[in-house]
Amino acid sequence: MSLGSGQSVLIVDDSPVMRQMLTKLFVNQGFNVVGQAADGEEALALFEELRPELTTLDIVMPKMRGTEVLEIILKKYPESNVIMASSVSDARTVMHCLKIGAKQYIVKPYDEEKVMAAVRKALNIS
Amino acid sequence: MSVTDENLAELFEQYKDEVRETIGTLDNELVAIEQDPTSSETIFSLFRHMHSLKGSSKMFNVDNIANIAHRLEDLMSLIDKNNSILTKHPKIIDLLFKGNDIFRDIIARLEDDIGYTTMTADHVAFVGEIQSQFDKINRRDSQLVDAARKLLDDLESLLPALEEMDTEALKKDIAEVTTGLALATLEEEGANQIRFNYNGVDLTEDVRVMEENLTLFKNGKGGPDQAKAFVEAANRLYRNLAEVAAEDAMSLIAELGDGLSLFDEKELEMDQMMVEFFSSMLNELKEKFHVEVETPAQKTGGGGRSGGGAVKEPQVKTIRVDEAKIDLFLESVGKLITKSEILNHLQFSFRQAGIDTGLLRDFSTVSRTISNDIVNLQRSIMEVRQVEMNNILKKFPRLVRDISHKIGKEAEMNIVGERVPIDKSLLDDVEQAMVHIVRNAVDHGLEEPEARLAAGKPRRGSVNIRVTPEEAAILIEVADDGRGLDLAKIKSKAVERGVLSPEQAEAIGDKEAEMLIFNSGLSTKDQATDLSGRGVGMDVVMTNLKKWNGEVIVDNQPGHGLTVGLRLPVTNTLLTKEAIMLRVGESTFCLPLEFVNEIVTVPASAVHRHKDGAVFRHRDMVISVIDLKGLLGLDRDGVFYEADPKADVSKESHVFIILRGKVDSRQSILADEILGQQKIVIKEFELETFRKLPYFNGLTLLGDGRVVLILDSDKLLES
Repeated sequence: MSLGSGQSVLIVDDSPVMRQMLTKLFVNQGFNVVGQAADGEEALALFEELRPELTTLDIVMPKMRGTEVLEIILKKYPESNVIMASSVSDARTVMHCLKIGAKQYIVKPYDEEKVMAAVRKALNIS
Repeated sequence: MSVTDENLAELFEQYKDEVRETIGTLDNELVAIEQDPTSSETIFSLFRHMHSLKGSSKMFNVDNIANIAHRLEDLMSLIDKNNSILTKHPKIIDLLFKGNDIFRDIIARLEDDIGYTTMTADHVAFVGEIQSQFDKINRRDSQLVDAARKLLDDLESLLPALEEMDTEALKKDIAEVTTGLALATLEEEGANQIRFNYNGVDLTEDVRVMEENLTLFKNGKGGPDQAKAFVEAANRLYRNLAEVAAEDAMSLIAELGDGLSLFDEKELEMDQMMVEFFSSMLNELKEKFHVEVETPAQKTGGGGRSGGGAVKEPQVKTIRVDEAKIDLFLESVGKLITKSEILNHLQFSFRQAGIDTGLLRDFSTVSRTISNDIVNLQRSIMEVRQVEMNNILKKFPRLVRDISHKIGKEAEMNIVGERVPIDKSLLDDVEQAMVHIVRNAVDHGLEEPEARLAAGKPRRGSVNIRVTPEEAAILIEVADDGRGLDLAKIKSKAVERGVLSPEQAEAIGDKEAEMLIFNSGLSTKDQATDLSGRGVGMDVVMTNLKKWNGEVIVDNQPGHGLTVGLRLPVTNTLLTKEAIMLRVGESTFCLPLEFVNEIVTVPASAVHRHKDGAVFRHRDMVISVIDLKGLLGLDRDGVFYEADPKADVSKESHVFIILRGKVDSRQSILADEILGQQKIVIKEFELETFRKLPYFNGLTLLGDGRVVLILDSDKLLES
């Protein structure tokens, strides 16, 4: 039984391997990965264009950090479901993201279970 | 492993590719940072790459890279906060280079040994080196502060377990605190003799209790009571430290509480992340703590990230495709082209048979469209095979740095044309050739710094690589501003080595003398050192170039520098060509249009025979005729120049194809008949025996299934 039912997902990470890995996880679980972005600016552009139901957001990326991306997205679309997926485990960053409205925060290395647990909570899937 | 197994093998290959790319980029950035050690842009980029390496290596359980990258990330993070560190501690750059070499080594070993992911003794030693750099940067005057800091380290690793009050986990965590140097120190020196006193608060008792209990756990004698005692002491120490710490440290502690409630609210898992969360919280706390103790770290400059000379990294969306798959694809397209030629042939046959209906015209249109589509398809696949020159160029700044450092020279490298595409199949040979040229430029071309100054040149020499795309070629130039070639010396060496006779040496011009640097007789290593020109392995350059029909251009400016250019044809890899089909005797051949200068019909009377062949006049040029039948050993019956010169020639004329080669030619071949022009797919000879065929460069399959050899005009012209 897969978790998703075709919900659109945008994946943001500067590492191609990480993007691919996440894409596979989401596709396996019945989500529809509609876009991948490799840096913050691209993430914003794709978010505007695709308005995904769920976004996974890396933090340390070229051009614009994920934290800034998160702020901009949430300011404009406060109801967005964004999961931070980063290897930044710095306390202040984690707290900042969660405080301003990131639904979940997962730290690399994550596995399918961990990602999906976060997705379940972020999207309120029981 | 973090993802399902079937995905992993494939992703792991990509992971390795990605790490290799990062290693190349790091090399360049390290060279850049060495030249401008305060560039915050480069510092941040180095930090970001270490961070990425850590993240993806963790995902793939490549612990050795993950650990080392993690420590280097921490180091870069520290430098990012205070960009004067690299100026004060230039050795860090060497350390970073060494780290990158270790990454390279690990990735190479992973090819053969997929289990090479754990920390070896060397890796541990390297992490120790990083740590001692940290210590140098963070050197505190007071031993006390050190001890307190180390205690905090211990606390830090205990906190997550403490949170759960789970003695098993506590035990495990404590076991992991073996790196706690503080404890080692304390044990050695005897805790009783050291008073832990910080800003008037005596921490000794807490430290003693903690140490006692830690030791018990280490020896497997810890239980719930010991854990409790330890936790109480730790909390007390923590409170005491917090009490005397700066206000912002206090606010951090408050934030920690905030964080905890957020975790509850968002139902976050108490896992690795939790551990990391506390670690980073405490890391910050420690930093704040230290800032209080010593003079605040000066944040020099604005630290803006724009501008600066860091290597830009264009983001290109890519997919990775196995090279073999592309070749297979290309082969299929080749077959399609042949099929579409069959369609053309059919159409031709229909027309010959007098069938000419609307249906046939439709058929023709469709067949033409298909043929165009296929060619477009093929072109885009050829482009897929192309990679950017940067793939090889990015290693050169590092190479130049390493060589120049080794031999005490100063050199900088500038590269233009990183984005120029090159066929992947050329990469290895081009790289090998360039390595030789660049190495020689630094080793033999550039002068020692003093000699340069004396010659009125800047102390630091430069080696510049420029890659220029040309219409049908790619030009790669390596220019240095060194001493240039000493042709007299090269010539005398050539004579000494028996490469040239004294007379030959006397006779050759400068251009030929310059080319001697590529002569294998002059280019072995031990000779190169006393030959003030170049020579190390330069014969390799020639060998590689010949393989791809390339040419070498040497521009020697004695005293001012040397430029070596490599020109590689790009058409080399295009596998379809327009060609004319011709009949010679009983045989059909094809000749690519690029080899055809002109096709002329000449009355037999205008052809003049002589004992070795024949010539005719065309537009005031005398064109000679290559005896193709003779060369190819074809049936000589009816060869035109053996015909009776007095025969009635007025009715007879001959068709000659004037060839085009690398140089303008005045030679032609005789075709008994021109059969037509068509697109051919060149198949290179796969068998070695065929490769030695002197006048052909491949074969093609015609629409009607016949196999036809392809004539090579350059080889004919050489004959």
